[in-house]
Amino acid sequence: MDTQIAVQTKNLSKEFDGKAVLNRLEIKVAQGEIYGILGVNGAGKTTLLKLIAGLLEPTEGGAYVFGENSWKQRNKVLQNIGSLIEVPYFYEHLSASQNLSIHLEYMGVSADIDKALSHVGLPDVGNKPVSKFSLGMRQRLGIARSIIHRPKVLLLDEPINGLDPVAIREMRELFISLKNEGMTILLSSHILSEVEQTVERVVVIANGTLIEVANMEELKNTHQNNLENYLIGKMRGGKYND
Amino acid sequence: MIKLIGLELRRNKISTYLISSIIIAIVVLGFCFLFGYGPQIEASKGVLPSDTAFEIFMTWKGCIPLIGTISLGAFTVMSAIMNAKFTVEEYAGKKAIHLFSYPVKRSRILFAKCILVFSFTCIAMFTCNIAVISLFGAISNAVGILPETFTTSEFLYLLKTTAVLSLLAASVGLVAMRIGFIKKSLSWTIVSAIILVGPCGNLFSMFPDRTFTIMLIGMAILLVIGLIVFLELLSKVNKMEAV
Repeated sequence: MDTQIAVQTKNLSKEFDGKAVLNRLEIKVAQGEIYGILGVNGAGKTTLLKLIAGLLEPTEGGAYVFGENSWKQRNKVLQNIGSLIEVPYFYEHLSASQNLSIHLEYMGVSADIDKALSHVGLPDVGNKPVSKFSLGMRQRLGIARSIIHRPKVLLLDEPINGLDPVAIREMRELFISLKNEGMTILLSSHILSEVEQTVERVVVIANGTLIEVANMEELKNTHQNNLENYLIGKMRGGKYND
Repeated sequence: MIKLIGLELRRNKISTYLISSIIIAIVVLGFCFLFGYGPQIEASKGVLPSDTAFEIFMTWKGCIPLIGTISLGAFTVMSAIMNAKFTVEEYAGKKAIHLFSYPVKRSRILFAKCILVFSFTCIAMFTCNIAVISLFGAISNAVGILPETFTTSEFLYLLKTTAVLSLLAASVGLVAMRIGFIKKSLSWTIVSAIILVGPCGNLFSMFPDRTFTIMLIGMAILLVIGLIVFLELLSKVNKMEAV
């Protein structure tokens, strides 16, 4: 296989207070791929993304980004990652531009802040304090922050939360254009329609266990009329009644 | 490290603490006049100024530690609030996800935060206390509030007392931050600082002849404890998870 593996998990498990949240998960994400993570609330999607981002220590196994262990070589891995995990946090009294500028300083890179804001549909609000932003604007700004330093891997946890239908379409187009530029995107969601339209491959997780990894086009062809039912069945733990 | 400290200054509202320091200085100046005129008012009512309690208010050797202790209490609480805002809250809950997403050694970020708060507390308290008591000394010399003159000798005593108390305030803030870190709570940090600094005033007044020595010992103990808990926290933060 010629394509480089961007993200891989090997026997990845995570427990909180003795309770398994992820159980020996094995996934491989190729460079330049949009990879969907599907699961109901509490399935372990966010935990998986946090493990890949080096925010959590695996109980067993490991997550790797371009071959580097996410927990043990965290700082090296984080240079290649952009992430929007859970609710984006900003310095409320600062403007959107100032927030992005500080982010770039921490990342140790420079980039065009105005361009990044335009990319996510926030062209004229750079000087506005984030405290005045709506939920949707915050989400857009969170996406801008996750991509502004041009990461090789983008981790997006429910990225369309709080966005209106127009913004959802714009973000979908943005993700596809980023993928075309070679960025690898892992996108978690419980919104099936979004996953269907955006991702190339999808992993379904239920109760922390991998249920299925599938090519989205193949799934669409196989389950033309009942893809939603099929995926919901899988998300419930594989109990699918056609 | 300088860059990280600069970033901390950019993303936190440092002006709030500058204004707080000025307000503390004004309040402490008010206390200076209260203590300065207290014995005169009491004397006018026939209470003899030779009482032990009056001696504290009538000599610079008594007044400087007393006013310094008030500054100590105020700046310790401010230091605890800064530590809670700059550090404790940043490592709590979802904010930690953001902080841990940068490819910078976590201990370096924490180090920058603590150094900034420690230095700010020391400088702010040192500057305010020196400015306030020197101003009060100059006014007293001019209008005769205290019977003693505020001379170079008193100023030097003020310098060394304030230096020790400033380090003590910053050290208590550091220890309180570590306690607050256990529960990741702002109120725990502030209450810890108050509990730690509370007995200081009593200790200083218990040994009026050796006030400076007691201050020095107290500062040394708290500074050592502060350094130990700080080093322990530096190692802990590298293993922290953003749950």
